[in-house]
Parts: sequence; structure tokens; C-alpha cells
Amino acid sequence: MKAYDLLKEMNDLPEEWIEASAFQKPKKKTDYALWLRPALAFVLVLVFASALRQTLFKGKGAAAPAAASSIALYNEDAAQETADEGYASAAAGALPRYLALDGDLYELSDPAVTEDMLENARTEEIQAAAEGKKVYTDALGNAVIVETDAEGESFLLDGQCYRRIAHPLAEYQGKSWQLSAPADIPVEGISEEVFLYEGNVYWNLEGYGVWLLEEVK
Amino acid sequence: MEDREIVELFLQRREEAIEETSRKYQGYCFALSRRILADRQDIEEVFSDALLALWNSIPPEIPHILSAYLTKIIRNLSLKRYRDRSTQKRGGGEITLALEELEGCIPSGEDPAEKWKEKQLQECLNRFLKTLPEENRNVFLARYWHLYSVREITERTGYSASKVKMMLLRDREKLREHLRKEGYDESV
Repeated sequence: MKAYDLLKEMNDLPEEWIEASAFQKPKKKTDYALWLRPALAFVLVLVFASALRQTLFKGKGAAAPAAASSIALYNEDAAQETADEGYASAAAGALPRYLALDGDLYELSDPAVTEDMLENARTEEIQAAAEGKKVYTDALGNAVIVETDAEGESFLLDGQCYRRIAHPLAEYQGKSWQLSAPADIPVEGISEEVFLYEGNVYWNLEGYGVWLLEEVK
Repeated sequence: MEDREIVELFLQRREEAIEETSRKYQGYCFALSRRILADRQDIEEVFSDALLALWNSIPPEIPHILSAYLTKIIRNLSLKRYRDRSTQKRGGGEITLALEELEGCIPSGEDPAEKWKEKQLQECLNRFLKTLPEENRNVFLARYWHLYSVREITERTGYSASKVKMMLLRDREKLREHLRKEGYDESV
């Protein structure tokens, strides 16, 4: 007998054994099926939210505000607030440092944060949009859910959760609130759009006026 | 297309069955053949022959697992062609190494081909493989049925190379002992 005979006579084995020993690599097709629909739905939500915001701002007779780069990352306190209040936020592309999900706060570098959790968060964003909540995107494409309660609309800005309490457009009309001008106004910038003035926090929406903000505790 | 749908096409004698089988399994079959045969033309011819064999055998056969059924045919035809070509030094790939490894399992000084018919040897091998734990059997068949290299087995199973080599070494020893007990060694 030769080794060849052993190999040859090994041919007629139960098909289950042959299939099990093939150690087939997982098929990616399944992954596509799992991810494609949520991904498409997420993109549609972002497009819809973007179009909605442009329409709203256009209605005020001005161009839509530039994307707020100040919302790129959440700090721990603000993210914990959003987590406690049941908000969810997650990344689509560039990642924020924290993920608020189901009332818990996760640092994205935490090994406990899995793709499933990110996917779940995206699902929650879609759900939030379906429920009429606002879903904004920041300059990095991160989605930020903003919920409207009886006291008004709240949102994340510069790592803090704010509620817009006043729109002193008339008072500041005609003035430019860019940080570099006017030079005679003592402003302390947090970012290009958010600044402190006389102890108050203001948000300068380009072409839309300056808003007085109240920090949500 | 799902395997059962492809089998249904064969049963209906529709030629799309060949196209669908080719589309779904050509890559896998070529890879298996390539581990036995070195020549591209041989590999392509084996695949064509296998499709023809599939067409001729279904019906009356109805494969339970189409992929395994087809790869059985591919492997059988490839081995046959390897034997036909071996005198021309056209064989190659993993089969050469696999054969060298299995040579050690065969007790010397005997000619079982005269003593045992093919069916008996098949049954003997099946009995041996049934004695192996499932994990060992899968690794053994990955090496000696699918003719994966040790590196491919480590990639597909996540086992370390040393673990795979050790499993194969021990199971070859068991096979050698099993063959001896089954009468392949007159001294036993």
C-alpha cells in the first residue's frame, strides 16, 4: 500500500465531515446584509436632517450656519448628562471620545465598546429621528441627538449641554460677533462660534444672529 | 443561489445548474485542485470533468451537501490525474508533502493492495476517523482530505502551528496503530 492509496480511499467520507473540516471562512455577504440597511437608513436620516436644517435657516433669510466644529468631541460630564437623560450619540466616520448609550457612558478606547454598541447607537439615532427628535451632524459627521422638552430645545455644544433661552437678535443686530471683531468687545472664545461675554455664554450662528444660552444642569 | 436551488436545477435537467455551480464553487474547486495538481490546464479540465460528472450523477443522486459532494468529485479526479501525471513529474503542491507525511503510517514489508479491497480500506479509514475527537478529525481531514497546508489550517482554525503539527503527528501515530490492528501488519 502506498500513501497515495490512503489519500485516495479517504475520499468517500460522510459529507458532514468534509464540510466541517473545510473550515470555511465566514462569508462577508452576511455582514453586508446586516450592515447595509442600517447604514443606508442612517445616511438618509443625515441627509434629511441636513436638508431640514438648511430649510429652517433659509426661512430666516440667511444662509445656513457653518457646521459647528465645537461639537466634535463630548467631554465626560456632558456625555454623562446625555447618557443619564437617555440620549444616544455615536460616530459615523470620525469618532467622538465618548459614547453615551442606554444611560451608560463609555470611553471609545474602552475594549468593552463593540461595533455592535456603535451600531445600536446608530439605530437609536434613526429611532430618535423617527420619533421627531432632532439629529444634527457636526463638522466631523458625528450625529448628535437633540431632544425637545417643555422648556425648549437642548443640544450639545463644546462638550456642554445647552438650551437656547433667548434670541437677542434685535439687540445685537448689525454687529459682527466673530471672535476677531469687533475688537472693542471683550469676548472670551471657547470656539469660533461659542464665546463668553459678561459672564454669559453666547452662540454666534453665522447669518442667524447671536443666541444667549443657558447651560443645562 | 442556495445549494438546494442548484440541486433542483440539476433535477430539472436545466443547464443553468452548471452555470450556477461554476459561479459559486469554481474558486473553491480550483483551490482544492491546485493543492494536488500544478498544471493550470489540468485544474481546468478536472473542473470541467467534475461538472460533467455532477450533471450525470444528479439525478438519480440527490446530494445532501452539494459543496462536499462536488469537492469529493474534484478531489477524486485530481488525485486520479495526479497519479496519471506523476511519471511526468507534473504533480506538486501540498499533495507531495501530505504523501510524505502519510508514508510513515504504512507498515513496511507488506502489500495490502493484495489483501484488502478498496472498500475494506475505506471502511477501515472511516472506523479510524470515527475514533478521533471531532476537533482532531477536522484538523486531520483539513490536512489530508482538503490538503490544506499547516499555515492555512492555523489561519482557518486559529490554532497555533505547533498545536496543529502536534495534533497531526499524534493522529498519524494513531492511524498507523489502527492500520496495524486492522490487519495491515501480519505481526499484529
